[in-house]
Amino acid sequence: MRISNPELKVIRFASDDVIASSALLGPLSGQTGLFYIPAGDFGGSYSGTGNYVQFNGTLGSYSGGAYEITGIYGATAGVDGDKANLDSIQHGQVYMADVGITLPATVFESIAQQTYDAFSYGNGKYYTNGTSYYESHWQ
Amino acid sequence: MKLRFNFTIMDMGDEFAAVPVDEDAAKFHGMLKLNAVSADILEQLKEETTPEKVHAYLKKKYSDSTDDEIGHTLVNFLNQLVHEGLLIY
Repeated sequence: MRISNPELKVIRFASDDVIASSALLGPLSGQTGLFYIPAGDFGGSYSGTGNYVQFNGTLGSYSGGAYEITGIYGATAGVDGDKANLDSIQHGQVYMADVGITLPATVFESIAQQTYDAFSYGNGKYYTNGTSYYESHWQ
Repeated sequence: MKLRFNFTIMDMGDEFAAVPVDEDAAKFHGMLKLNAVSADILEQLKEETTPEKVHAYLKKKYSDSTDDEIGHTLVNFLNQLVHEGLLIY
């Protein structure tokens, strides 16, 4: 096998303030794609036993510092993706492969709850106030 | 030499993405979009290493390429990483 040209594209964000502005986030509404949330402590490798949640969904409206996520399906999580690790999501980032950008998970904290609820109920719907949050674990 | 930040590299199918993790997530506000070759090289740079060691790794993996091809490719990429402030010598 011959080596090919290594590609590198660096995407930088000016600050959290810019990232959280509706001016930047607004145009993303309606995007459908894969959402990926690493939850803090990875232990050095994405594959294997990393703590993460990953799901498909559609970005809805942006309000109060968070998006509404609709049409969630195919949610998966790392083996340690329980409540304690969801709490640590605030230290991670959200990568949206569809639009190729990463945002701090603090902006998207509510997504973790919604995804968790959808996955816990196992019916593909999302609930804004899942009562099983403190009882269920990823399956 | 090694990467300035602790990145997690993800295989996204058609491309690779690297995002900073742990405390470095607050130091580097952004992400890297990569292909298979650059992701491969970045993996080698997660721990302290030398250009010679990375060259030897690439030579073994891309055995159909000459030493000069690999060297030229590697030097250009390392220079790009330095230019972007992502590599510490």
